[in-house]
Amino acid sequence: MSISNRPVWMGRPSLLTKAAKGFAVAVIVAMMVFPMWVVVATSLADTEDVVANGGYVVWPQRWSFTTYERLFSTGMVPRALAVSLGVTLVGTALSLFVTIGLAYALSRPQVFGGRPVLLMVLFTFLFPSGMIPLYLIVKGTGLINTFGALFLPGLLSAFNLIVMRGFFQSVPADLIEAARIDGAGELRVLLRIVLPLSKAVIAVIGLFYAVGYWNNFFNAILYLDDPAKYPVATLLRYFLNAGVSVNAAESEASAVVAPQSVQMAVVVLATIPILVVYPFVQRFFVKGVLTGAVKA
Amino acid sequence: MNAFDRRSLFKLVGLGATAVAVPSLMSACSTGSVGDAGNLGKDLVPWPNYHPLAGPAADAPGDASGLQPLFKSYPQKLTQSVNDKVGDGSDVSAVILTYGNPPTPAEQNKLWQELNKALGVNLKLTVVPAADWGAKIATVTAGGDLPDIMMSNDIPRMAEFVQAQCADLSEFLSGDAVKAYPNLANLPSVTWQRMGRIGGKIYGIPVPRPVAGSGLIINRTAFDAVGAPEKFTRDEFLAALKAVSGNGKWGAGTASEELIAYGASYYYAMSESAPNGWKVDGGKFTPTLAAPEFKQALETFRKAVEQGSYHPDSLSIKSSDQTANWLNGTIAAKFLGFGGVNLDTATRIGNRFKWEFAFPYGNGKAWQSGGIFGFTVFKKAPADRIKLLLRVVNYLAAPFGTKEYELTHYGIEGVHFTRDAAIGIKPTELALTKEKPLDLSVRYIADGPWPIFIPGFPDQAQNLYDYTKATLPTSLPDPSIGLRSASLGKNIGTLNKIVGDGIGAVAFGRKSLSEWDTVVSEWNKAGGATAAEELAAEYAAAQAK
Repeated sequence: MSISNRPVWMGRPSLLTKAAKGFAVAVIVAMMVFPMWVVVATSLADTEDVVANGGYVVWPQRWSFTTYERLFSTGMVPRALAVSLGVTLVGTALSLFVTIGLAYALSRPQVFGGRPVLLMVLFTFLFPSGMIPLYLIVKGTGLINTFGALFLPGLLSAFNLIVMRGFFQSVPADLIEAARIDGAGELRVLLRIVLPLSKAVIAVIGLFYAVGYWNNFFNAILYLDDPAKYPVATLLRYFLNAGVSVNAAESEASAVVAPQSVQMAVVVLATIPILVVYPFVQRFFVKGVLTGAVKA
Repeated sequence: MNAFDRRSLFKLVGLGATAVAVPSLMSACSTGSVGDAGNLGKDLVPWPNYHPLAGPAADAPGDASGLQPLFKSYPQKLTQSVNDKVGDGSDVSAVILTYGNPPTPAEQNKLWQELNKALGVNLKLTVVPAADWGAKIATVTAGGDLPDIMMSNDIPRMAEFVQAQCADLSEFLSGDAVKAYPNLANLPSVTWQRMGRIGGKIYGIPVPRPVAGSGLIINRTAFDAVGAPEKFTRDEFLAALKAVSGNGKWGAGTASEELIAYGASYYYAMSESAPNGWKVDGGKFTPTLAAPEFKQALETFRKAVEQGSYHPDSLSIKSSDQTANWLNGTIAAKFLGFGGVNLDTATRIGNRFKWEFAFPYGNGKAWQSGGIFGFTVFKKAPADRIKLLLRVVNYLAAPFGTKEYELTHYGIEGVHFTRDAAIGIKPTELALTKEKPLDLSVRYIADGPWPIFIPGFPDQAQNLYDYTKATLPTSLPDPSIGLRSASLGKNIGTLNKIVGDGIGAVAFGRKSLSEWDTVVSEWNKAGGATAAEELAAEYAAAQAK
């Protein structure tokens, strides 16, 4: 095909077209980056800057780490970070273990009792237990004021289970059958055949669980009385609460730093761990989610 | 492969619906098991008698109407209000809310340790962020394992729960019995009355707050610049709002959080002398929203918006951001709680502009606050244990100017604060970081009556005192405070939302003023009419004694 016969979309773009594309991409990127920048800039602005700008700062006149210093000055953050890390690692590992186990069992058509168990799981998906019944279960099982209360009540997510089960169902039956002919049992089939083919969905579900555990502040508020056991998300919740109190309650407390900068610093602190982990699982992300989504 | 068809799904939905419905059917069968927490037809125990404590002399005195004493500087010489042994070394657990950070654990917290020493108990505090308090207290009360002391705010079906599960304090506090606890006897009678009785008995210790209510805080420098008088007529107020608007500035602003109950319309309502919450006429309760004065208030509010005097983001902006707009001069007036006139606000403004509460325009009457933050209740226990808990609470209720107040509010001298000639009390770095006295939050268990004291800003304190002194005598109380209404307890969230949404819609032009009557009617149907009847019955019971 000669150059002149090529359709327009196959032709070499003109300089103007390239410039227009570049500009369009730059605008789109700016639209994504700008709000994130405002979050960071506001967290690094001092009180006067925040007030002068009416709440959110694009470029601080005086860069200040005061907000972060205040957040860390309570002396509880390092321990809380350790608690969060422990809860996230242990919780994610246990959650993946039970999710993989149940999802694999439910993905096999001939498993005895599979359908009732699946219905039971779906029932909890449609009708969550509610806060007070869950509290009573946690209390009844002796988990109040223990670290276990931070991950055991939500160890298995029905949504994640369904996604993973869908993925396992997509593994060719012939492959599993061949393994069985070669003498492999269920455990070996799972470990040697299914899991190696399911790295994508495991990475994605693992990320879902990890983000959930990292961000969960509420379990600690409900189930723990000792602040020394609080994860960092719960501490951040207190900081946020304290930062806005002078306005929300109108007559209670007083804020030392501007509440907006506290809120934005909290957003930054809560986002950093996810930003660190995300690039490592990003390549699995689209594949894992889409595969699970179309199998039910 | 296990596949779901529509029939399976419907079965699941049906099962779920049954599961959801059954508990409510069961609870309907159990009505009455917790007894009647109302006061109608009950023998009402007398309120604790008022025995004021002699403390340091104020720069200007308070009075029985709720006017707070003015302290321009921190008292040089403190008094001691608790001389006897308080505790017996036992554990005392408490669940309270906080507007601060979680306290540093007791073993690393000098203030907590000192307080334990002063109280003679081992305080085990569970301090919950205010935003999550409702969920926490719901689970604590549902769990059945109650702490010794808890705040009663937001407990589901609070009155019934307290009557069934908490200690009756009547014999320890009623009449002159309260003299055994001098700091509790120092709480004015109005503070107890605003807590209200439950089933005719006293079940709690009120946590006092100023009777003077919220208002419209204004940038007086901006209003002076356009020649606005100190006391406006309605037209002068509207003209002043209009005059300060323009060039990226607005006369006033409200915020999304204020579009609940009467918040956004507060200043207009009190300026038009609308009743505070309810009007009582011949024993009948009529809500403010049905009063003609309130309709007039809405009309004035609407005019202010129509003339372009309101910040355009008023319906959506957060209160904290709108406060920033007021602090930086973008808007000249906004709603502020009485306690918002504090050191933090004064420090942020500095000398940039003069600021004060605006007097209600015309011949308006200010609205009083509820007068209490809430009240504290005790788990049922033997009499000796209750007396111990009352001694603990008595310590925490010590008034300003006492050594006990200093410990609970400022900490230990030399550790958490130093004395400063200019401002009286200067917090140390420790008190600003790891051990903020506020974080311990024991002031939500009990507190002394609030003084007017803004360290380092004596003129601002004087200004607030003068405003309160001028407005309090004619100010209107909310007659429903302290009365029990099951409908109000159950539907308060919905009712407040209907009022707030309606005010926003009418004031900002989404509905005409004539449509306000439909809001009133919706409010009545949502439980408001029943609440009015219940309050009238409670009111009659209270008046009979």
